[in-house]
Amino acid sequence: MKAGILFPLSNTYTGIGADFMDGLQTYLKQQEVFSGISFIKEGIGFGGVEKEIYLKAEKLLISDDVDVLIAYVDEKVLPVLYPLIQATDKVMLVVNPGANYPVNWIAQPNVIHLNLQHAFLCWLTGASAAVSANGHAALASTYYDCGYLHAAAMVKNFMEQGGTIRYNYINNQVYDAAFDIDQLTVFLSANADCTNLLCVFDEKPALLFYQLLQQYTGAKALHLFVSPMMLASKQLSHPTANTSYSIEGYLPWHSETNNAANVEFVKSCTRPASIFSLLGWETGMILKKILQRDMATGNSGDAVIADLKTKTINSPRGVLQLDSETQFYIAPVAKYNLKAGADTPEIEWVSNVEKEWRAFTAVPTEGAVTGWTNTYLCY
Amino acid sequence: MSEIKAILLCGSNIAIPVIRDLLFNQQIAAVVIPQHCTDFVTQIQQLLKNSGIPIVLVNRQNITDLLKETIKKYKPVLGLVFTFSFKIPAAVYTMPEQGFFNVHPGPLPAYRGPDPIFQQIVNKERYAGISIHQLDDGLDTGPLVLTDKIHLMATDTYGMLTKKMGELATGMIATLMKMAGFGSKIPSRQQDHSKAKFYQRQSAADITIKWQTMDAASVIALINACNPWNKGAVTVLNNNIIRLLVAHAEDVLPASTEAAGTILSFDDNGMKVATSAGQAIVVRMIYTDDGFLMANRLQEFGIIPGAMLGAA
Repeated sequence: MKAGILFPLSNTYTGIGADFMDGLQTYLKQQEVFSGISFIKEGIGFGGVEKEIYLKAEKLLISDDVDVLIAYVDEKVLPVLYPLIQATDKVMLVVNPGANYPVNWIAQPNVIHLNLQHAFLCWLTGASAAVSANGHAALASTYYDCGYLHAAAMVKNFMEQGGTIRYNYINNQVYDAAFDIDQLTVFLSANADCTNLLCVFDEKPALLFYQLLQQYTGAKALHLFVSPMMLASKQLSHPTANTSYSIEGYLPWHSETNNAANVEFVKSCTRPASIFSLLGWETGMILKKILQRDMATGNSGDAVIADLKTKTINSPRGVLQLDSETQFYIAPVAKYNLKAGADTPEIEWVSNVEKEWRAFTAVPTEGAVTGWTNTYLCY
Repeated sequence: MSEIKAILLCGSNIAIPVIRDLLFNQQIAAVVIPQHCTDFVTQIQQLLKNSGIPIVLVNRQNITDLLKETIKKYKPVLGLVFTFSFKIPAAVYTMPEQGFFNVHPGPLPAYRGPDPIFQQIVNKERYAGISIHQLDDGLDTGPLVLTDKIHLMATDTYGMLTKKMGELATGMIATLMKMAGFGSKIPSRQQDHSKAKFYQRQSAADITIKWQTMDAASVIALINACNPWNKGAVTVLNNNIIRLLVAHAEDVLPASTEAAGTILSFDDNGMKVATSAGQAIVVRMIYTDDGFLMANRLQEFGIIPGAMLGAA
């Protein structure tokens, strides 16, 4: 089997490609199926230029005649790839953090999605915030982070569940000593009844944000509801100094999860296990299913996907199931809760999120949608 | 200014969002409209006023020559056909570098024919689809390029769905125009002709409610499919034709054993009518020779519960 990979670069997460390939290759070698798959890789910059992505995909699908295209790209660039993948009748596995999502959730033929469910996790977090205290909140994010639909998902569900947004703070500063949250703390000081903060930050600004908030004298009363990247690293999710505020959110995965699949994953990777190697590992699991499928039903994209819908994947984050409706893999989620003053968070895995997933995907996105075209975290 | 321009052949309002978008992106080489679509021509003249974009009016006799001339003069990279009543000959659709593409407001090959929007509503589809395919000599038979869908709500009228389809088509055409600019030949795939179904334009019988066989959902679907273009689905009352324009299903199934088509009652919401399968609908608005009326105003014409709709 030949698999083509479109993979992006990231200045911030320089190991994105290496981690992904490490997870992918390690799994396939461990399963002794690595020699059955040859990989052809094509770089696509930060993944934001449609023409570049299209031409690379065209080469992989038509010139290289790959059987499966693994596209580490954002939802926004997918429409130009659909005719290619459907004309060649191959399967495209779209991989990304899941910070964006399709506007109508209607599945496209020959296309399946594997991601870290960031927007869905933010949507769940928004619901938790709506029932906290008086349900009033300020939103804090950056110009970069709020250019993806995960921020909209958090706010949307927060408001649908009865929450009220009182203030929006969008930081457009570079992530250094110039980064401040002065305007936000001025608002919070003047509005003591607004104690919930909806926060959508990537890892680097998250660290700065936490540090600055710790210095704010009114922080003790605050309850932060945060996006997954604000809990992504050990440094963020296990603060060395007790925080004066509470932090709540959802994680797609964390390295200390004590199940056999995760222990094996963390132990086996040759690089430190990360969310990117997790995506690579899970991609390997899907490729193995495709490689070993019964060919009696044919090798068309439709037949492969119909087959995958009948199989589950025992991933390091639990059992993954390909949703028949949307053709996105649904994964268990980890609920994170760090109480004010505590130094150890409570992390609880929620295995069955189908009901919440259905609610999340039931309502099409309405109105104009603008945002970054590159993949989240690739900048 | 975009170098990727299209010649657009269209004849109805569904194309207006597409024209607006292409106009904004400076991607229109020329617009071609059948000269008998006079209202539409007026709208497009207004829309393209001062844009410098030519509007070419054609009829069955001069279409080939005028299209050839226009394509030679303005050199579009591709042609787009969106609700256009004339067949395009091969001598024309092969002229632009990327060929011609038809924007068909139905999923192909399942909904070939002139009015797939009507048929998709009548068939109570869960999704309504749009297909963009390369033009060939057949009717809606060319290789598929782009397909997409939207949710078809049980409350969507023909007019509402047309508007939604126009918006969906706008995004799909934007994708097609991007692809045309990538320099490669736009990829396509053959339709599975074994799954093809062709629907003729709806006849008088197709827009008439068959009370004896249609359940509540089917009657409502037909009413929606005829709103607004036909001023509603057709039925007969006391030998007069009336059209049912707005209706919804009755939440609580009536215990009534009345024959389908029987008017059960009138109230402030309208007129309750029995359908087949022991169900009922509430008709809110009708169209008669007297005008658009709340259905309960039929009482003013002496209609009382027990009267039959559909009886000749």
